[in-house]
Amino acid sequence: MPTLHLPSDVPLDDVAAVEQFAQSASNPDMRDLLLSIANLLRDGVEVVTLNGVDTHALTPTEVARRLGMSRTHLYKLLDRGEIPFHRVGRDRRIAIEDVVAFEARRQCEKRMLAEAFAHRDQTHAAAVDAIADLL
Amino acid sequence: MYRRRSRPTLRVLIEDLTSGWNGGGPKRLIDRGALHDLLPLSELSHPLIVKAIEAFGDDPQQDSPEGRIASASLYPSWEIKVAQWRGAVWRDESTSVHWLVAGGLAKGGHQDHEDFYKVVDRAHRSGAARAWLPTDQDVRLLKIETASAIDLGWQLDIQRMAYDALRGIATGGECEFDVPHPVPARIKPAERTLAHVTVVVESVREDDVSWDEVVVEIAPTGRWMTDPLTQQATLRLLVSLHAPEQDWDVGDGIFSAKVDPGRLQGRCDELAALVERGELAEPVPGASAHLAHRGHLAEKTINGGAVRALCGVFFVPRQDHASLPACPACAGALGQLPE
Repeated sequence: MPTLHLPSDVPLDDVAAVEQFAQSASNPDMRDLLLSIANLLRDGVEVVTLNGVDTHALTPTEVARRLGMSRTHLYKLLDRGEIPFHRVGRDRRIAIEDVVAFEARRQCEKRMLAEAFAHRDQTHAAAVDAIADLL
Repeated sequence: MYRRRSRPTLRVLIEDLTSGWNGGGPKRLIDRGALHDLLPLSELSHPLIVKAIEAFGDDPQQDSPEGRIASASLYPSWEIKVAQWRGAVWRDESTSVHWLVAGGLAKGGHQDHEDFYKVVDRAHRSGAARAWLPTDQDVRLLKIETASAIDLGWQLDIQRMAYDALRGIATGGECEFDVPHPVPARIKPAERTLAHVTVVVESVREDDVSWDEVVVEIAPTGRWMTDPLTQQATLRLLVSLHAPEQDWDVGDGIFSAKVDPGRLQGRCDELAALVERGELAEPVPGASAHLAHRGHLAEKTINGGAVRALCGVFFVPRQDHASLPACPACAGALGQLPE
């Protein structure tokens, strides 16, 4: 199981340096990966397991902030079972790997949505055909 | 369901109305096979077609044909006249649709061999006039034309539902509604709901940021999961609620857009005006030229796929980006790239 050991107590200046370096990556996917690592450092995560049991869990507030969405939106995803979570007392916790997996699915769906907007003439023609078939 | 007003058959457009068009006429589009671009056929700009609609429009009370053409013995044909043009209109009793099935010119005091009435007489005697009746392709074009009108009305309904939902929750709240199938009468009662929709508006007010988020869940029912109608309804809902395409996010089937505080109330006012005028909101494409990897661009420009820009936005490359201002976020990201 691949694991990633991160140094503990990294000074925030160093985290900022990692972020700055991440911003300079020409490949957006690589930039996201490096920014994810910077976020982990900022959150004080020491070990990340990329496949398997979670080693570090985030609160819904942290996840919503990281994903750039409202908490209401995040709770919908949790309630629908799209993003797994476990409970600590009454609170919920979300494994980082599940946040990363959601982000990957999201990138894929955003690409499809951009294509759906661009190709809406074809969608319109297909919809009109579907109606015509019923007449 | 169908409009009863006169419409020409394709054969009339191609073989009979060979002159007299206001403008270029339909020949170029027919030659290209772009038949859908001709619709609605009743509104093509030829004097005989215009006259045919005057004679048989949408209101039966206003019908004004010249009378029956006596020599049309195979099926009843109504005569229409305008200048030298003459036409024959046949009414399909099963749909009430009037078809302009023949057109031509009055020639030589009706003694000329090519005079319209001579042609009609010969075609009805020989039986050739049977081939003038609407073909399967004519009927399909009628259905497409009718379906386009149904689709427009249905999209306006969906836009109104989006408006009704948004005006109650523009400053926060949740609203649910069902999107019906556009032709419910042709669908089993249990399947007449296309999708169940939930719209939530949530205000995020934190120390350093404040924004509103509109969150849209569209749950298609049963067999409509992958139907193009569901896709059409989805795009219509999103564009109604917030027009800028690239502001929409989606993950695990939940759509969302982050907007400036107060923006959704402004959108309500815009929607109210559109609903009032019976017009559909237009999606607003990305207003800036993004930067992306050159190799990706070349491929996606050809196959129509989306690429991810430096700023994170997905867009489908087109040819007209040179006229757009550069995306500042992309420029910022580019500036941080190593030399």
